[in-house]
Amino acid sequence: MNDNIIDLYLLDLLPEEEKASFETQLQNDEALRSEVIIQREALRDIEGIGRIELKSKLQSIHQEIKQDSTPASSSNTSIRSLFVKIAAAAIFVAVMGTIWLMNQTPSTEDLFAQNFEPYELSLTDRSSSDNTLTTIEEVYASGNYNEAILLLEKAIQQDNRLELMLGLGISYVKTDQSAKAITIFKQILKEDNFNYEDEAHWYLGLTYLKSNELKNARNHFNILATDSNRDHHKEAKKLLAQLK
Amino acid sequence: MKDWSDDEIIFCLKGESEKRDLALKQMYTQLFPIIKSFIQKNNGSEDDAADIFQDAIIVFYEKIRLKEFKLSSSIRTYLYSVCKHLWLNKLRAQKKVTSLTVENESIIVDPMSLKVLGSEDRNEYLRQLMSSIGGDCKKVLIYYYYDRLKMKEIALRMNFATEQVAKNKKSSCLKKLKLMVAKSPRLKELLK
Repeated sequence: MNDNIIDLYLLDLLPEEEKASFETQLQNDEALRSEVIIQREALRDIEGIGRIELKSKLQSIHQEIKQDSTPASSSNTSIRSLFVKIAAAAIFVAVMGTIWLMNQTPSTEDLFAQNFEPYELSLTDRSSSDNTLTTIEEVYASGNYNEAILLLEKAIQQDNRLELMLGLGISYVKTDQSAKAITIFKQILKEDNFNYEDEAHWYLGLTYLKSNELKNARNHFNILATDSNRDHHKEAKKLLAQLK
Repeated sequence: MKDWSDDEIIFCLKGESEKRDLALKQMYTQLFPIIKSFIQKNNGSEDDAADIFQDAIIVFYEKIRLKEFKLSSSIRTYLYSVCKHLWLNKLRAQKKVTSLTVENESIIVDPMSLKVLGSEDRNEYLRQLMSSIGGDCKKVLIYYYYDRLKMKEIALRMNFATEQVAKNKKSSCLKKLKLMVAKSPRLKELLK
């Protein structure tokens, strides 16, 4: 018997009809019944193992946070205290820097302008014979965003590649259609594709910045700023500091 | 660090592992103090608070994996309610319960979701099982069944060339596990 259908049954993912027919089958087929019992037990065990692992992960987070909040004790080595001094100096510099930046008070428009660089589309590496995509690339790169929008909207109907959507979002920003841009960047985020996720957060943040919705802007920059593995991590961090 | 919004936390809990860990940490920093103060007001220690809070996060994590789950309150209110129930159960078990001093915000939690970790015997059995199925199998099975990740995501994390490799690996690991499970005394009991 197929493990997969048992999986779907046990995870309660079978459509009603199939579920009913599977249950009838179960009534009549003893071998299938024991198969299901074994698999249910296996899934329970995996669930149990998952919990144990998650619990131990949480326990280590607890320890980590506890240590962070306990002041360094005197028994620590001098290297540690040296670190603290260096850190203090770094914080001092950072604070002074922030104060300096605050005195500069760049407006949100300035910040937007300083940070917004249109994403470079490279659509044709896979199918270089594709004329439509070449045209889109050229029009977009030339900065003719109104025309790019027309082409991109059409192209997306046939091929909803995230890169096309990103290009469309940016073209909307460039033609002052922030609301449309926001919708499309959010759509990209919904796709959960981590190749474009960071870009989407970055441009979404910038679009919010442009429309002066600072709280929303910060939310997206924060996601990038708190994870050093993400694209635009440094820029987001810097921007957040400037926004404070 | 600025507090994350509920949406951000949920988004990251469903995402890749690094982001998940970050979101867990965020939840911890943002919400543990509230739970700690609640437990301490109700005859508990900081360790009790940590234990209860961690179990509540597990409940929450398992809930949000489900497609049909909609969070009807804030994460804060949700966790607070789960902690309240878990702590009440524990106090009842120790026959220490009177009534709880609670903040006036809680929602009704499905009591089925509140049994978090099993007995020590069961956990010991699971630990043994865990070490005998092998590291990769354990990872794949947990990613698929516990974290409910898509095959594509699993392939990526495990460095498999294609989604199909992940599917095959999951199937063969499940077969292996089922063979072991079939031999367990508990199962012989169930199959009688």
